[in-house]
Amino acid sequence: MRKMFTLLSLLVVASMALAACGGTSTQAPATGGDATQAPGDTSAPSGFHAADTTTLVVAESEVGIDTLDPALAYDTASGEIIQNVYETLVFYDGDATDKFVPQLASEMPTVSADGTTYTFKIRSGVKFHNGDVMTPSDVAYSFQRGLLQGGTSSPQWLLTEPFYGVGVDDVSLLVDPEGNLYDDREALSAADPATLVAACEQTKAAIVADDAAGTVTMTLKQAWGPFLPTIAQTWGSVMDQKWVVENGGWDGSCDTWQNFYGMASADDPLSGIANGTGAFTLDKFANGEEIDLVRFADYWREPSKLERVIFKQVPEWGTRFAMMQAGDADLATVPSANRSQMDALVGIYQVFDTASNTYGPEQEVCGYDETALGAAKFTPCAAGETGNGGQFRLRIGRPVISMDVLLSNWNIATSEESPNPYIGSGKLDGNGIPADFFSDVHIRKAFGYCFDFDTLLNDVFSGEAVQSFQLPLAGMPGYFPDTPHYTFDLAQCEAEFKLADLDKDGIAAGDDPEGDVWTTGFRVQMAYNQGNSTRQTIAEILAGNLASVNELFLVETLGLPWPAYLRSQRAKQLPLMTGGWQEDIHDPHNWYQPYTTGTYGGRQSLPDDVKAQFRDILERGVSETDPAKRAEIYKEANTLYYDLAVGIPLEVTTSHGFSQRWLQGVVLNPILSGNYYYPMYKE
Amino acid sequence: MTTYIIRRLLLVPVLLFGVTVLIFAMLQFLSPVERTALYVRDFPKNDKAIEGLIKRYGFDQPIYVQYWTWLVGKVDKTSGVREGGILFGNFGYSRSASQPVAELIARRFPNTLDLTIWTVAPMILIGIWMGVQAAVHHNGFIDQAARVFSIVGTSFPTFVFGLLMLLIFYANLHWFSPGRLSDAYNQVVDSSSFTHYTSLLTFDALLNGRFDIFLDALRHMFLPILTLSYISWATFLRVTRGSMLETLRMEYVTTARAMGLPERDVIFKHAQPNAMLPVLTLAGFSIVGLLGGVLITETVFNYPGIGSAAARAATSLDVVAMLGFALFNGLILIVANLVVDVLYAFVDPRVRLS
Amino acid sequence: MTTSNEETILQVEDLKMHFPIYRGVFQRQVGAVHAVDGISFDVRRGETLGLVGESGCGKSTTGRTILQLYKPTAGQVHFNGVDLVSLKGEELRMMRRKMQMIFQDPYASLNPRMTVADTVGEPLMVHNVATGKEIQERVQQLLELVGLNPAFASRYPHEFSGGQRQRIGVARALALQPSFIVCDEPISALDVSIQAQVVNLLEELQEQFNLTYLFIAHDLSMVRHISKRVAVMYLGVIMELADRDDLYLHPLHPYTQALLSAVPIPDPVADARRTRTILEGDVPSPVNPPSGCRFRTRCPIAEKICAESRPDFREVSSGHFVACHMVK
Repeated sequence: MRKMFTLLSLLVVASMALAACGGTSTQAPATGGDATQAPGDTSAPSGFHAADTTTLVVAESEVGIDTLDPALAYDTASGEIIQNVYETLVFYDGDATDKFVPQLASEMPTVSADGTTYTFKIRSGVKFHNGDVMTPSDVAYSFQRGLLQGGTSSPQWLLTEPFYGVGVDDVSLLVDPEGNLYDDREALSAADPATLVAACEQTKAAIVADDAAGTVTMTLKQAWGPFLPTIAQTWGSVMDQKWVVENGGWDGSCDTWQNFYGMASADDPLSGIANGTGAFTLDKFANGEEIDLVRFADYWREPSKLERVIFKQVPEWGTRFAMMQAGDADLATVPSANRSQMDALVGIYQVFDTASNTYGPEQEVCGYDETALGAAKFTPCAAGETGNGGQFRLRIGRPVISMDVLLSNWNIATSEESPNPYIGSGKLDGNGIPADFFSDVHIRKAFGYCFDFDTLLNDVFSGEAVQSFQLPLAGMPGYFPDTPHYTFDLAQCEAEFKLADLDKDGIAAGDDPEGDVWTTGFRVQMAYNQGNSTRQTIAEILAGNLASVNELFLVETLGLPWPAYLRSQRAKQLPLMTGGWQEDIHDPHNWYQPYTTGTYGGRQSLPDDVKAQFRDILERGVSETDPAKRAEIYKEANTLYYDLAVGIPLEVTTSHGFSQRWLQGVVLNPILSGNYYYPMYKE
Repeated sequence: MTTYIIRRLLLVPVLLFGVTVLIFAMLQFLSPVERTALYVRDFPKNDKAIEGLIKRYGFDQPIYVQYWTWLVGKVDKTSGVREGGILFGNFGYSRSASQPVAELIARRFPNTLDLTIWTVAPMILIGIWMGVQAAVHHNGFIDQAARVFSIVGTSFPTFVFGLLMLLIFYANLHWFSPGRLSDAYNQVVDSSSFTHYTSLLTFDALLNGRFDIFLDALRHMFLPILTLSYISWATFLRVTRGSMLETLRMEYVTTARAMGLPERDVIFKHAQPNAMLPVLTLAGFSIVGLLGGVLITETVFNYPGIGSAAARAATSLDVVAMLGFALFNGLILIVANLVVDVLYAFVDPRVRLS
Repeated sequence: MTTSNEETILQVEDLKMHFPIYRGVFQRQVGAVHAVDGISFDVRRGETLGLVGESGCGKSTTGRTILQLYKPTAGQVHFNGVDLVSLKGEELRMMRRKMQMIFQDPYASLNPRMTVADTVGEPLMVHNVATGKEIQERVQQLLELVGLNPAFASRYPHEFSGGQRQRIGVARALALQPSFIVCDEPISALDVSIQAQVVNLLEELQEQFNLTYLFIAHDLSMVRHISKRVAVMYLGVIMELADRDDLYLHPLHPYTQALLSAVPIPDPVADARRTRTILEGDVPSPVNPPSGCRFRTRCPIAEKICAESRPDFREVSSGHFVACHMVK
């Protein structure tokens, strides 16, 4: 018995000792692949071999699938599963965000001259996982079902606009244009039956299947530039009508659609089951725990090389790290704070080249400097040099598809009954700001010049982000690398403050003998949701720079719990905020719509005339189908957004992704939800 | 004895009612907008969406109506379907797990129970054994070593210890793995050829005659068991040691020696059984703690029990699931307290007869 | 008065019991509690020797050390002519049959998880003197003997009053038919009304079985009632030992005098006439006892010699021993 005790004591001591040196242990080094291979060519062997080449394991911090119903799923976690189980008519061509290839359509659609009618030839002989054969009717049904199911927490607003008209962001507006029926199934069901049937008939008329000809024809309300990007996403997935009905879904009748309107994932019978045409079938759905996909043998193309893809929920980073080290996980969620742990074990890496918009060649790592920023941490091997043999592969530097924008509220909500807590006195007396503080363009511009972008990029994102000059992202019409943008310039900031005229006496603040913002100063609170350190730092950077321009300028940072933050934002009470957006489709419309006429425009209380100017540009932009012409239209939007300083685009972060070296065939397309596993294989 | 148990049983519904009121009261700390906002992804494109949701979930109704609805359920006006309340096992829908809370608990709890069953013996028995040894060799080497062990055990955060175990035994040695079962066995267990008699994996594996699966399950549970035991040993050791030292000073122990009872019998017949009473209380609490789910250990070892689910619900502000877990834990606590009290009555004649 | 032909059952010679004190990380011994520091006396068969002193003076330790519940630091204890200190294991265990102990706290001295029958019968089982049915019968007898209803045998200790529990303790002590019993303040935890009952029971049993008692107490009046001879202890040392009446009427040691002056006398006139000796100061620590006479720090008549040498424990008159330089 005593022996056992000694053994236990030894174990504790030994474990402490091992902890000290455990972090640097690696797999046995092996000779690496060819360092000079062509970009994008992933067929070169890595020299690393997985113990199990048929099962791919993804260790994710969260396997929380909101729903597997493609019409309802609107988050990337759900999207990743749907994207591998279901398929769309057209799909992205490799890692391009703006090129498409036919998928369930047998060829690219024919488009009418006015750009409103799309005719898809549907691929024949495609089977669903349950063995049913896909028909054009299934395709039409899938789109009709999605549109009619609607609901404001679904992605359907992206499809309602092309089919029902600009600004119609939910099917309930066809029943009540005033918008009183949003998400209220009970009230919608009580509406006039004729109106309900009419809305359904309108939808059915817009999407018509011809099973004999093997085609589906879609008629849009107006030409829609980003139509293909829109239907290439998971909400354009094709479902098996028979199967949906069998499982309690909408039967396709115009008399019953309202019973399925505004479906929450909790009520949706299709939230936890799936039957697509994709390369993988859903084998196990233990949400919040594990999801297994297995190869679909009857796939219309060559079946996938991987037999099984397992998504494991592993919330704790240390555990995921151990799984990666042990080789039990091929891919894992790596929080940015823990990247350096993985970086140290990287043996091969690829850097994204923004100029050519592609990843550069694979390079073996011969040196690692943890103090450097981004890709500069790694030193590639010179010719003839042998790499460090690190077990991980890194891809770094590709801008992602989300952006933060600094937003101000042009008309801050406040009243006698509920005084706004974030604007101090509510007057220009140095102890607050008036409600229309940000309606002065010079104030907004001053805030833009007073933001230190380099601090944000280097200190907050460790150099793994780029400043965004405009709302459109690289690779979409309307993106210009050299567009005018705000830079950190304290002199300009001061000049703009002196040009402001907040007391509206017609004299700029710099010259106003009665005093104006430059002499009175101001005090305002900038809120962020607690735990969002990026938003917090953005507020702090702004506060620091404004104070350095004039010590009377006081921005207080304030952390609010998420519900309170949301509530204040809804009430248009927040004077200053950081608005983040992750695009649904890679198109400028998906950026300008929310930031001007849509959600954020509302949060900013943009005046109607400003909204009208943008609405005009956006309507022209979205209904134009020629990319070159669209680029020119969105250039107008860029200029207007910059001149009025509606918002200050801040940053787009860049990718920093790891995998095991033996994992090949990875498609690196940021617009995809997570990974597309069909082309992947393990050595 | 029977009346004692009946009295305790009669108290259970009262306690449960108290728990539901308490938990419902906690829910009221959130305004209807906040409660709805938790369900809204990003935020709605139209303000009316929130009002619609508030109406749909009945958050605009008087509190007693909401409580009643929460307790016994309501009839859906559109579909006419009756939705049960918590009395009918409807604990609400967990947003973080995307499934009903009751389903989540039903799926996760057997794993936690399985882990608890295998942890109890090493945790309690070894802890007690060490405490007895320390007390018997009071101030001797074993006692000193035990005290050091105990201090290290108490001051070692579970989280750090767990990760350390993973680093050594998994990432470096590949002896034990996180999770519940190896992927290959997982498929066997999910298949129809494997009968789930008890839902407890280790027992089902044995009942199915799959000794290999049983061993694989144990292999995955080893590190959690070790971690849970290690952090509890310190407590058991200290409580047992203290209680033993106190009991060894009792005069009936001296009497036992005086009458010529061999030292072994003095310790194990007279001292230890009496010293075990506080340990029994501790054991009761520990088992309740294990059954309620061990958040950190389950999370670190990626063990799919109720604790890792609760941790996830908490970190993703899933209030409904948290309340469900709180209610479930309250239930476990009440039942476990009852069991401990009855056990107490069995081992301590003073309780039994008073 | 004592007669020399009485048989000595227990002889204690220069008995010392020092408890070491450990300190620090390495648990070095830094000192010792001199609980019993060289005492000698004998006990005769059939008598009751009272051992009195303030709490902490080492009287309980003396009782336990005699029974070898502590391993003595030095000295000898002859029981029926056998030196207990040199005995080990089975031999000592066999000797234990003949010497038993009754404790002060009737609540702590009975195992709460054992029935009366188990408690009383356990010694019989331990020493294999009886089995099964015999034990049961013997337990019934013993309970009757101490005045308890034998029907209570299956009950647990907490169901009894303090006095009843003490009777159970007595029954347990008697089970092996010992000849010598250490009574460690057996009545001080009981109500006054019960005290007399238990003392009477002890006296009856003594008569019936020719028992010898070492009766430890801090209560001088009860000791006077039950004892034949009385020893007075102070700070680990016996100060005075004499026949009961001799000691109470003619105390020689200043400490004994002080103790006796504090005992209330149920005669107000006599009580008023007495001179009270009030002791000043506290009892010194047994870790670091005073040099020479242990009592000198509080003694009203102490002189220089008292600090220099330890007084011998002398027999100043027949059967009257005292340890004091000042007593001639």
